[in-house]
Amino acid sequence: MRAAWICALCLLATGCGAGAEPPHATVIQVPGDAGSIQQAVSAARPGDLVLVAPGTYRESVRIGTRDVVLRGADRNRVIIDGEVRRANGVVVTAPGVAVENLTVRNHTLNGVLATGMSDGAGGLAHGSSGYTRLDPAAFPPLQGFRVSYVTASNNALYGIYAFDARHGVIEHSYASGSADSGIYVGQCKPCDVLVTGNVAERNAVGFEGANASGALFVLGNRFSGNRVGLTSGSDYQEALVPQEDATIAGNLIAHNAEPATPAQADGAFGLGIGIAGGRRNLVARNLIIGNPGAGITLASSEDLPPSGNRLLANMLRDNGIDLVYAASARAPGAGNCLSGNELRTTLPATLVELMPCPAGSAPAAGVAAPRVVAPPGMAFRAVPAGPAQPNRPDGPPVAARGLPGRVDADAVPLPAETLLIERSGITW
Amino acid sequence: MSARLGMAATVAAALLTGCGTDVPEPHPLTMAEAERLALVRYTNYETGVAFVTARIATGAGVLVLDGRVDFVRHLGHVALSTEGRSDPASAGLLQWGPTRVAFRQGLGQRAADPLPPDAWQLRPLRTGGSELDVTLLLLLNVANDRPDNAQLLHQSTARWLRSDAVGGTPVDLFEGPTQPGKAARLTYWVDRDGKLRRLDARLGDTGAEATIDFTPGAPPIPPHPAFT
Repeated sequence: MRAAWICALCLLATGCGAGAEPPHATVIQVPGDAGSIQQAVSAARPGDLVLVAPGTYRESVRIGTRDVVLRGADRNRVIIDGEVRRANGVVVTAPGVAVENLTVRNHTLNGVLATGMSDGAGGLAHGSSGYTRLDPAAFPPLQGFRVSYVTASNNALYGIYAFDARHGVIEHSYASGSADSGIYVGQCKPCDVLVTGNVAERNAVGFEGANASGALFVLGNRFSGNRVGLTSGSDYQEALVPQEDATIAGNLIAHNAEPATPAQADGAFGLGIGIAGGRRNLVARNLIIGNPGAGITLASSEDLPPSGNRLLANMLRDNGIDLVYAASARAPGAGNCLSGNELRTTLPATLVELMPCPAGSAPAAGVAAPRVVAPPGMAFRAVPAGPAQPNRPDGPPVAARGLPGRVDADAVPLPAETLLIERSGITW
Repeated sequence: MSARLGMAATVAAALLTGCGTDVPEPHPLTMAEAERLALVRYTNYETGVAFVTARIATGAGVLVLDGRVDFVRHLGHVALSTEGRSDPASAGLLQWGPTRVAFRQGLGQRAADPLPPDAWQLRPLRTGGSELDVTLLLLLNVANDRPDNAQLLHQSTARWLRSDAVGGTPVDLFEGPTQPGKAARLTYWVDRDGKLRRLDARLGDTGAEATIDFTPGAPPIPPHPAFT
């Protein structure tokens, strides 16, 4: 079936003599045409599709050719298994690459990594693991990436990780059992990255944006059943401080107090959304429920205050405290504003009056955020796998160009508690 | 072992080396060895609770620890004794976490017994100067909830030293990364399954030596109220 539409596409392209397009997109089948995914990827030319048959692949794949599409024939049965020996499942260091419809699990670092921090030979530059302060001049950002319908389970750092990468999309993916974040976007300014329709659960943190600024859209995701649902903030260990101008809208951030998860590095537990040292972020129409520490905290990060953040029309209920303003005396924030939120409890108690929109709050420190004692963590490998995930709809390979396109965050509504529930293994 | 037998063994070892058998020399880690060493602390974390016995050479004699350590909860619980001494001050029960030590002085206590409710003294755990405390902290830090970075280990000063056995189990000895000018070093005895069987430590401040044996599969530790 898949070969048939590829051929049809070739004929059409050839027939109308469209010179600007690649003459044809070759389909490289694994294992039919190549002995390993890496062999297929290495043989691929820009625009080619590497189509992987069901099986467990014990290899680490590096994609250094632009506009290649790596696709599994069955998301749940095409498995790249790191066996807790290999660092990364798929590493993308070329622009325009898409990774689709497969599972990456049991890596000592990341399931899928997209980054411009390449050594030029398709590999990673030294120090590109974990928290890294990159030199943006030496390593210009990767331009264009897409991670779609990927299941990233039981990886020791991040499930899906994009840093020093712009103009990308992470969508319809599922991340669980990450000892750090399920999905992580870091070190981009402006990012021009859309994160949408994903489920991240049973991770230390569901989604983390660190120094990810400017046209970062986190829309319509389910970040529930982690230790912490979502964080967005500034981190001096990484480049491009401070974090600013992200849009976090229409997400379900619920019951982030799941004990069967790896420990969060700072011992956090029971937090829905945490903004630390972030500026001018928009947090709108999120459903934030059942987080026993706090629904949302606005905090400082070292000398960086939380300033100019707008919290609009979120619905918060059954959280320990719905909203906590925890800016430090060293970095008191200003200009934060609240409007149209449904919430009952805030710290300080009069936050709604202190943070009018559009005027924003006067410069002030806050109070210490309440802490929930965290249960012991679980080994990331022991976190139970999630349910089977839906396959990507069939279709021709499309390189990750022109992403994310026009994003209409205003059109993303307040979700129901059932958002993406059919893809979730967490109940409450 | 008598001096004569010891000498004979040395001569035999020299002969073995001399006649050209292929005994591998210590070498920087191969990537496969680095991956193995990178997993040691994570494997301890997955183990959860292990039995431990330790001998620590200190200026005040050889301290012996016998008990267990919980790598996930960062909690240890051992009976302490001092070789060659039988006065009450030379022995006791110890329970500790990353920052504090609870000590219950007295002979004849076993870590396997139920936790006595009284007569505990609580003090901060010292991070330097005390061979005992440095060893206690080491016992908690020899586990981590994720593998170490094999690539960095591969590029480090870590070395494969030799093959050996612990209690009949074949192991490889790996020397961990060292820092220039620092005496501290750790030697990991790692079995074929990646489990840490023994740890030799040369402790930073004094160069004193400690040997710790691990056996997986210990029951949980009943925590002292200070550690709940």
